[in-house]
Amino acid sequence: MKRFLPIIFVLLFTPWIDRLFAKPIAALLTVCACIFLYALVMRVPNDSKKIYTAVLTALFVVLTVFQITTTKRQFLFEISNDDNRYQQEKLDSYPPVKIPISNKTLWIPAAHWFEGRSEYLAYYRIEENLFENLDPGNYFFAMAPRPRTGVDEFEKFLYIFLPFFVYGLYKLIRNNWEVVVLTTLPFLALLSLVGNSNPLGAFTLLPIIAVAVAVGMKPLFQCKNRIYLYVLIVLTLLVYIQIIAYQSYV
Amino acid sequence: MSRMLSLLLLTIIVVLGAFLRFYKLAEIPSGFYVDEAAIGYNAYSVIKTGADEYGKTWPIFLRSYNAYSSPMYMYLTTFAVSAYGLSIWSTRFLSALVGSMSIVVVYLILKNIDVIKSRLSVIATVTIFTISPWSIFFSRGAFEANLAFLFLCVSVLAIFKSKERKWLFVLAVAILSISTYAYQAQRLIAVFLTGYSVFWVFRPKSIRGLFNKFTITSAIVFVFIQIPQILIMTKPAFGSRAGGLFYKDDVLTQSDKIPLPYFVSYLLSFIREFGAKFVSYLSPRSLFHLPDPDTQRSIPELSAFYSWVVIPFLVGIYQLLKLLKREYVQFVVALTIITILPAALTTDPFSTLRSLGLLLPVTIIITMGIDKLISYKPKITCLTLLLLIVISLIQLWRSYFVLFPTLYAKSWDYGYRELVQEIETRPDTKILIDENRNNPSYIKLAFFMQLDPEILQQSVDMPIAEDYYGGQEFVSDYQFQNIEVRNLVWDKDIYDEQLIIGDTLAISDDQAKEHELTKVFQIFDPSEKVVFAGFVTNPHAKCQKISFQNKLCDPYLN
Repeated sequence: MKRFLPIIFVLLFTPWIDRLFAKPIAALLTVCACIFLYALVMRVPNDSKKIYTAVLTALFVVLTVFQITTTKRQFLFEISNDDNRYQQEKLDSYPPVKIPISNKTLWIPAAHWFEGRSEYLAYYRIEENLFENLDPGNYFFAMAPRPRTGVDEFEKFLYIFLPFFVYGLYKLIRNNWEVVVLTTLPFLALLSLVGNSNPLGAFTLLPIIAVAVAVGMKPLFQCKNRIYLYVLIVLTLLVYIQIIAYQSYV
Repeated sequence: MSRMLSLLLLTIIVVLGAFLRFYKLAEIPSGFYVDEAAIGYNAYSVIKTGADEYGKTWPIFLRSYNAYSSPMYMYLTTFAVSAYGLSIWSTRFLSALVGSMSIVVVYLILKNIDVIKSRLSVIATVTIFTISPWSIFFSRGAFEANLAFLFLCVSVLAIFKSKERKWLFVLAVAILSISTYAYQAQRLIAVFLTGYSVFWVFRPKSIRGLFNKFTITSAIVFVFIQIPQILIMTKPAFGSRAGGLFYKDDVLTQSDKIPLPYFVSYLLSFIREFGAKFVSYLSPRSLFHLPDPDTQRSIPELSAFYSWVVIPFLVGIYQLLKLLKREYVQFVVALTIITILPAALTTDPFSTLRSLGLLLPVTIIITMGIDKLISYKPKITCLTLLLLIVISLIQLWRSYFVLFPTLYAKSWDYGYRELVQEIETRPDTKILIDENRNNPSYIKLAFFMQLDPEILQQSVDMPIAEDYYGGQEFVSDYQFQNIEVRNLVWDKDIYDEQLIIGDTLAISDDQAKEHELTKVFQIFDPSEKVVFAGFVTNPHAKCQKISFQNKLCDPYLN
């Protein structure tokens, strides 16, 4: 039980979990995924590894289904009136692009290739979705100071957890890179395609972030000199009060 | 990779970089921003009269419309303006030149970092730097920050070299001190970088170890160079720009929400605001996807770097953490923090201008990432890099050379050159230019008219001329020759025989009809939007319309 203190501590002070309880099953599954994932990276006995992996896979599959069903799908090729207007402005910007070949001229439809084709728009949207999920500000500062238009940004993790996240992620990549890859890349790819319009956020990524924070914090929990742990607890409480105050301010 | 091949490739890269920075320099960006006009015109004024537009000789801060910007770019631009005349090209020339020079300096810096093993990774990253939107954008406008960036790079190179030759540390500190006259943000960077470098170069084991002939000489040199700025430290000009940009009000508003003692709540609010902005400068979304939020400082659909560069960047971050005990890596981490500091203390969510110094440590991090990737799969990495660089050049052509001149022309104050051409066909006509929504027009007009500086100097109020650094409120009303620049006053100006010029919001077609104004010209930007329209007043017709009810109609009664 003592081994799990870091992950429990992180989950206790994660506003994202509170928000997830709007869908209690999703919240419970996410918490279970966090704990099982943490156990897996903390080197469970070999004979249990297969069971943990199987349980985790099942949990993530169900979470993925929840993620897709709770996300308002973004149609990558859909063009609004505003997109149309902007597209026309861009098309009008292009000079004629031509290559003279002997006494003939080869016209290059550069404007159409870049601005007229819907594939280019889809690519840009996929890129936008991907980078939104790669932004640490999304998870630790509610996307401040560059919030998205029309999105209800909310606090996910306490910003005081960020240094532990960086250190913990580094440790995970060094020691368990396969776990990091399997718990991030598929979900980043999925979210890039379906979009990020979800009032609960990209919660399929919550487990790896929470576990990274817990891994980063573990040395403090194991340190003989308890003063560092007490300082962390006090600071976490203060920041938690701050974040709850921001969220509840009307 | 042999040394000869490296040098050959570097030469090609420098030529490419110079081409990308000088090609159509006067045409793109289309328009000419007010800060550029202020620099160019003040350089012209210094050449002609030995003083700036206010008649001040050797200003330590360039007052121009109370911006109090750093003057070094202006002083150095006098050479280009003397040689090539006052023009957009001569004003931007210095930025393009230092932008091209910085390619070589960045190459030398990367070569000196011991954790970077492969010469190929240095060449690849220098190429990425050369074609990066961040570097190109600020090399193609008259930006003081770009000059400061070159100074920063040279000083970092000198710091690296001072590990072997300690006397170079004095030179590095001198350059850092001089750089504070190039851009305001450098003041903070110079102080922190100098302080950190003392520990990095000399590795003192005690406080006494800090004091040796090199550090003492450096301190004296630094302070000596700062004397002009120190002498006006108490004046508003010294801190007005920085003070105006800090987000004190946001912090106070947020701290009021927290039910904790004031000191604690203020500190927490500040940490969160600062932390959010700080992290934003290292966020992949800001560096590789989103353009700068200010359209005057951004390129359509291009970020600071191309989106694919996020991969070597993230690998580089991993390498940074892995090799954190190495001294060059520690320097890179410190440099990253120091270059973000000035920008993270201002209200802008992500300012590519104020954080331009960050371009150097991020470039180093990218190099570390590419170095790691090349060590895994050299052939695949090199081929992939080559392909991605070609694609990036196509993206650059699309966003910067095609879309940018058209879509963002208005953000670059497009239209003043054309406006002056119209004005010059009417030398005997009284002209009023509405100033309501335009940032100071007078300096742009003076630039394109190549107005005699003495005329502008004479139109300055005496209190301002006498207390140059006093920071009195800037009034944008100016009058010279047949031109008056101020806010349009409808109750008065339509009863005067003159040509009124404004944008479409200043004078609508309905207002023109109501007040008997006749449109005589329009100036369009590259996207066919009206930027200026000129209307001739017809006071007699207006007065007839209102049956001469207004007192201002008395002169037109007969």
